[in-house]
Amino acid sequence: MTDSLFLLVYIFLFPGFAFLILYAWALSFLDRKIAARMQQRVGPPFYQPFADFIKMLAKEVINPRGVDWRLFDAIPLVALAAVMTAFLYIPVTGASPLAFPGDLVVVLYLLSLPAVALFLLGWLSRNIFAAIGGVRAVTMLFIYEVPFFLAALTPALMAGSWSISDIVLWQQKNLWFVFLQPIGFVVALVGLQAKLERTPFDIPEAETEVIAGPWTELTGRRLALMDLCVQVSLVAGSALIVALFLGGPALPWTLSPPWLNALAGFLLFLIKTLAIILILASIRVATGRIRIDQLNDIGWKYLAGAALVQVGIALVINYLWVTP
Amino acid sequence: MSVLREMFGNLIGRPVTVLYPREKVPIPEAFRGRVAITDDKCIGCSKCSLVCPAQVITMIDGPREVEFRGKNLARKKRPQVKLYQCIRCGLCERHCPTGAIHLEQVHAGTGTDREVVVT
Repeated sequence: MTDSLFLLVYIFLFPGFAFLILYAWALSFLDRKIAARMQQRVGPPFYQPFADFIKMLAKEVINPRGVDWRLFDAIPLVALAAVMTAFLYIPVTGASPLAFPGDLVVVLYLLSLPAVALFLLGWLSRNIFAAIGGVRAVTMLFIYEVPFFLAALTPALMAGSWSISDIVLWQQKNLWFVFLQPIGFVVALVGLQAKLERTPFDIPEAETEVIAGPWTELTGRRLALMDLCVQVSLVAGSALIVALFLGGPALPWTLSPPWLNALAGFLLFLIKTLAIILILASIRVATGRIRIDQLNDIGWKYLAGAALVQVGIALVINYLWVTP
Repeated sequence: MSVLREMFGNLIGRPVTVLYPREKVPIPEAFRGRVAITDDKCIGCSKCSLVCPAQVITMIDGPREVEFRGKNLARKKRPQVKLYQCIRCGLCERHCPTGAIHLEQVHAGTGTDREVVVT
């Protein structure tokens, strides 16, 4: 197979967009199912996220009066494209062929775009609830991004590379970062939960206060795409945490035909992302929504502090053992 | 910790809900479902119409010979119920001397047309 054909397959089929969307639906179903079973409900059937997507695509698109519909159409697409692009740099079966030194920073920035998109949607909606939700989304962005970035960059400090694939390689040779940086792992998980605006951080969408926040005026395909964007973010975010802290798809040894190695790595990736989803769903079920000022306290006093402590510990370990 | 115990206990336990409408829960005996009339039993006494708090039962013409407690009566009227305006209180069922008007044990039964009638 030529390189360009391989790249096309990688980007569009596996583990690119087609796999990503299918896996996003699967994980979204599992997330809902796990949460439902924890609440003693039956939960949705396995095809529910797909059925929701098709249903919303078929629904009428309503343009609120005075809203620039071109921007309203474009923003969900941009957010979805950003998240899907971010996933391409995360190792799924082995090192990503698109990896370059510094792709971690690109991924982190691309994963931040949905929050900005939500803010813009809220701002453009000409709806007071959407505007409040949008401002809440962007306020939250400033609170959780700092600890999340710090937690995600600490593995890079220790591995001595800003490439996710290199960080996975480092863990293959040494030890998973979840053992070396447990505080960073917890901060990253909480940060991811906030990034995905899931309970207890669903402040922008607090339905009792602001209807659906920035989502209020979204209808039809816009809502479908934005929903898909959140589901893909769930996959990309958990895949990023798996790569940074749980060793990604790397096996401790190399299996002999390369395809077997890739298959084993892929299965490992699936198991690890499912474990992350289980933790995220548990957080969602076990907690209730907090207020934005409480999030401010938690974010800046505890999460950022813990992330800084983790950076300090990582630097000390680096100084003493990793780089003699 | 007790929250976590309950959550993970629930995760391996059985759910308490069912996938309605694929599965249905058993309907309790005293459940008041949609109203139905067995015309053969009705003697046209109008009691149901008089007690109905929602005033959705009207008596329409329905002349027929009926037998009640060994006597032959000439019935003039029979009830007609506006189905979706019925509040399912069950008073008509309680006051009906022959059990002609009754509430069925059916869960489903909603609609948007206020003028649908049951006779």
